[in-house]
Amino acid sequence: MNQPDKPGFVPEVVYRAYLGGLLTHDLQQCHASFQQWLEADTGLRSTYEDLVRRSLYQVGDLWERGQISVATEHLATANSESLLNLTYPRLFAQPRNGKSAVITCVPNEYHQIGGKMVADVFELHGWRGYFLGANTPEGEAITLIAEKRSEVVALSVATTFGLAEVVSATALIRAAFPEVAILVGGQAFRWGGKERVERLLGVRCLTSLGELEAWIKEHDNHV
Amino acid sequence: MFDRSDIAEAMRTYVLETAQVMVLHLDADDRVVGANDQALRVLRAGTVGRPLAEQIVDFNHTLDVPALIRQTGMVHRLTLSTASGQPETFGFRFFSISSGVLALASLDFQEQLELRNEVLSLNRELNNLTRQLHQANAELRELNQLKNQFLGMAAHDLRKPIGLIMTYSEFVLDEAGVQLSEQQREFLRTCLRAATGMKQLIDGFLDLAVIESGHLRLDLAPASAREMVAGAEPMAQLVAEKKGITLLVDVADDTRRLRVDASKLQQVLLNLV
Ligand code: B12
Repeated sequence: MNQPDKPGFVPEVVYRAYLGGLLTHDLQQCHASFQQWLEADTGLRSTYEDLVRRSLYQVGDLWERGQISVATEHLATANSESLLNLTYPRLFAQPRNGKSAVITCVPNEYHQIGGKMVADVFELHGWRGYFLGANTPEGEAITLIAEKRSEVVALSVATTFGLAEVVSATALIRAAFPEVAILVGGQAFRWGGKERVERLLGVRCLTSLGELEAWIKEHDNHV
Repeated sequence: MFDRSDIAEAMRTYVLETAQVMVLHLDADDRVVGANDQALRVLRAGTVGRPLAEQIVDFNHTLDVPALIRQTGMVHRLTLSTASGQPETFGFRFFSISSGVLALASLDFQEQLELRNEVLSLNRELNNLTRQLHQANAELRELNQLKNQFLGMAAHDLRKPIGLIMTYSEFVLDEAGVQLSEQQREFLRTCLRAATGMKQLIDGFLDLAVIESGHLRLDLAPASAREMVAGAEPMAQLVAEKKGITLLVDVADDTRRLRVDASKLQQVLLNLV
């Protein structure tokens, strides 16, 4: 984790305020805390994982334990997702390296925030990260890979039942573009299964933005 | 099975205190004389005491509310203003009772659920489109810069040969003009005019490319007005002479020096003269 270096910035305090805002539908509070975190220059990864992901996991836990309603969970998710937009003016203005990646959620996968973060991390490292969104038919990804001549496709899968879709998506993409690297990741692997998927499908399985950044650096150094 | 009195009592308590159901008691004139907690929370203040018909939003005045209230076997979709100021459509069912009418109303849960899911999915899509828009904007900015670079490069490469064409056409006209026929001289003049036009066009492109790419570099150095005019004068005199115009130069005796790009200002001056 990056160390925050702005005086007066106490991650835990900002996190608490942010979570409070999420749970009480106080978008302004969330906005302020999110901005504070961004401005502390801890890096995009920290804002995404130590603030947004951590709070959403906690929202999920609270919901599981019956402490909040589905509606509150939905609102928290919608608010979290719209906050990512605040990073875009700066993120997309960075110098490019000419490479691109297509990021997509497999059919029937409705969790899209993790995948979008992955696309944003590609942008952060000078790549174009084209994000296709939740529940996307493989055909759309295949068309886009061809159009953008992308060298990587990343599949995001949060639910365990989505893994079956990963198997068929991987086969289709591989058949169309044998040269394109396939990355798979997401919460479906939070409880394991990573090595098995890598072995069976011959893909790279990464579960955090840190692992992704390491992969990107390795890839950029090789080519 | 539900007609036991303890069950009826439980349901009564639930409906009056907890359920998201509005209960309104209407008298024989359809005036609201009683309301449960939910109705008081949801509807605008002043519900009790006013006829129900007055509280129903009826844009075209086509509803016969007293008649609806007497159709007791069915659910009526009726819209009322709520405490939030927004109109809301409820499913009303009316029951005839000894002291008037009992009205029970609730939102359509299924419809609300569909609405919520639709809004959530639209919001997801909107966020994706916002991202795409930022990305497309960045890509367009990049392409525009590339276009400017290309334009600048092309203009630069074209300038030199055109300069040569102009110089040599002029040279031939001046030096060997007498040996040429009038027709041949006219051909050369046409060449010269065309090349001059082309040069102006290219200069325009180049300026545009430089300005748009945000790389217009100014060579700032101290210079006085007299120096700037002096720099532009010979060129202007030459052009004026060719057209048979006398050019008089009169610059105030001001020795102050400003930090300017003298060659750019001379260009402006020449364009004006
Ligand atoms: C919000 C949410 C939803 C929303 C999603 C809306 C949206 N716009 O995305 C909605 C309402 C759609 C939803 C639906 C369901 N959900 Co839900 N949901 C969540 C919740 C609360 C947060 C998800 C989230 O955004 N997390 C934050 C992101 C940033 O984290 P992330 O996805 O893990 O991504 C990170 C990494 O995994 C990684 N990553 C992700 N993808 C990739 C890809 C690559 C290549 C790489 C390198 C990295 C990477 O990067 C991200 C940053 O670190 C989680 C709770 C939780 N613990 O997360 C449950 C959760 C994911 N849902 C769950 C379930 C079961 C469901 C439903 C089946 C519930 C139901 N019965 O209806 C449905 C499934 C619908 C479907 N077919 O997909 C379970 C999944 C369990 C499992 N593993 O199978 C969870 C974990 C809740 C729980 N504890 O049970 N959900």
